[in-house]
Formats: sequence, structure tokens, C-alpha cells
Amino acid sequence: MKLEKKDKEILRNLQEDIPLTKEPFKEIAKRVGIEEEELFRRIERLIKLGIIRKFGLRIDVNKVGFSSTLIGMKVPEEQLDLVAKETCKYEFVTHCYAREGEYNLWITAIGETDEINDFIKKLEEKYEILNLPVEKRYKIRVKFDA
Amino acid sequence: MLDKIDKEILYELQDNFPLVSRPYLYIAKKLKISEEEVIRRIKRMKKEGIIRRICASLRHRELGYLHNPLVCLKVKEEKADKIGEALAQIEEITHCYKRKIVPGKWEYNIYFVIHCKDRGECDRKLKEILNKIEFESYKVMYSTKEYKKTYKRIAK
Repeated sequence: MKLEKKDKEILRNLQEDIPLTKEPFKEIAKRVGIEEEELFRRIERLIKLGIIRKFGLRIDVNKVGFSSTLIGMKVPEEQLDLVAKETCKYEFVTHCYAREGEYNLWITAIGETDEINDFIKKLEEKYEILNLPVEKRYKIRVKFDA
Repeated sequence: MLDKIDKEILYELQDNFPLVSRPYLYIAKKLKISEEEVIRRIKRMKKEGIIRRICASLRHRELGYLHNPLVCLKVKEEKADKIGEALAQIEEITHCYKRKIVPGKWEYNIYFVIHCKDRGECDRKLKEILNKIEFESYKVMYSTKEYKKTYKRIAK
């Protein structure tokens, strides 16, 4: 995807914390060197293009009472797509990747403790899995150069 | 502790942050409180670590970041924090956690993910990172397919 210099500048700014002032976008527009109206137009376009996936609060899910875990699964290669699609149906499954290695399907689940425990129990009945809950977070900071 | 208004703020602003000149006023009107109170509450929730940041998340694949290996390390328990914190300083590392081990079966305790545009760059970067730290064993798992990547939405 070819982006204009101004769009790249906007993406760089929006990946940083939005100011907690009454007119946060005026500040960002000034930094980018455009009018606020143009900033809104460009952000809306970047959302429409799918470059911006989400724009809003980043919330610490554990602090609002959710449990989160990483699950590694051993799935027969020929069933991988099917099992992945079944698993992705659950709202509390936020990430799902096929990865190289003996455990070939990796899922992140975030939800109520009970629903996550039930989910793990069900998976264990069918597959060999690793349940790897977080003990400590050192970093989450996803930031990319556009 | 979160009260009803805090939860409503989290719900309203978790995605689709209002693209208007006064976004906090926009939400304030909706919740029938003042703009100042919205800002004050967000500041408080930030201080408490409930809100980490207000920002945009990008679709990294669209930007050409196609490689995102998950790396697991087995490090000595007493060194875990020091290593975790050192890894957190590395720009390319987006996530870094300590996780529970499965004794006898899966004894990796430190996990991180890096994002790169090409595999060669990723391999080089990983080598550089792994050279700097002390571990007993490790595993690098490149992803071969992305099935789902979303975020947890808070219900009303």
C-alpha cells in the first residue's frame, strides 16, 4: 500500500498517546502541518483502507477482571484450517495463528475466568495442548513504521 | 475500582474514538457528565494502569510486516525479570511476557514476539537478541498463517 508522506506522519502520531486536552486533534494536526478537517478526512480514509484496525483506548484486560492465556495446540496438519476456523468463532479468542513446530496452532484467549477454563477443558479432551497463562507482563507496545 | 461511569467511558472509547474537535465533550454529552470529568476519569484510569494508552492500532500485514515469530526462552527463574525487562527495551519486540511453565513438558518461561518485514531481517535481529541474553534453551516459531487477530471488546 502506497501512502502519502502526510498519512505516514499521521500514523506515526496516532500510534502515540492522544493528548488528554480538550482539542487533541488540533494538536496532532498542527504537528503534521495540516488543518484539523484534513486530519479527520485522512484518518477516516486510513480506517476505510484497513490500515488503521482500531482507534481508541488500549485497556489492560486483566485489570478489568478478565483472564488471559496463550494456548498451544497439537493439531493434525490436515485438520489445521478446520480446527482454526472452529476455534476462531469464539468471541474470547482474540488471536489465532498457525506456527511452525510440534505445537502448530497458537491461540490467545481473553475472557471471564469460567468461560476460559471451560474452553481449555474442552480443548484438552480433543487435543494435546499447552495452557500458558501470563505471570508477568514486561511489554505490550505495538508500533509500526508506515 | 471502576464505577458505572468509568465502565461507560471504557465502552464508548474502546474503539471508534470520536473524530470530532472535542471528543471528550462528545462522550461527556452522551453520558450526561462534564467534559472535565471525562478527562479527569481517563487520567485516573491511566494512572491506575486500566487504560494503557489512547492510540491507533495498525494492520501490520498491510504495512508489509509479514513475519511475527513467537520466541520462547527457558531462563533461570531468578533471572527472568531482568531478562524480561531487557527484552522490553528492544524496539522490534512488541510483546514480552513471563508465562507459567508446564513442568517436564514445556519449560519455557519468557515469551516475546518481534515483527519484521522480511525473514532475513527477522533472523538477523533474533540472532542479535539471543546473543545478548543468558538462557538454557529456546524455540522460535514463525507463523505460517494468520486466522484471527482482534482485540477484547468490553461489554456495556
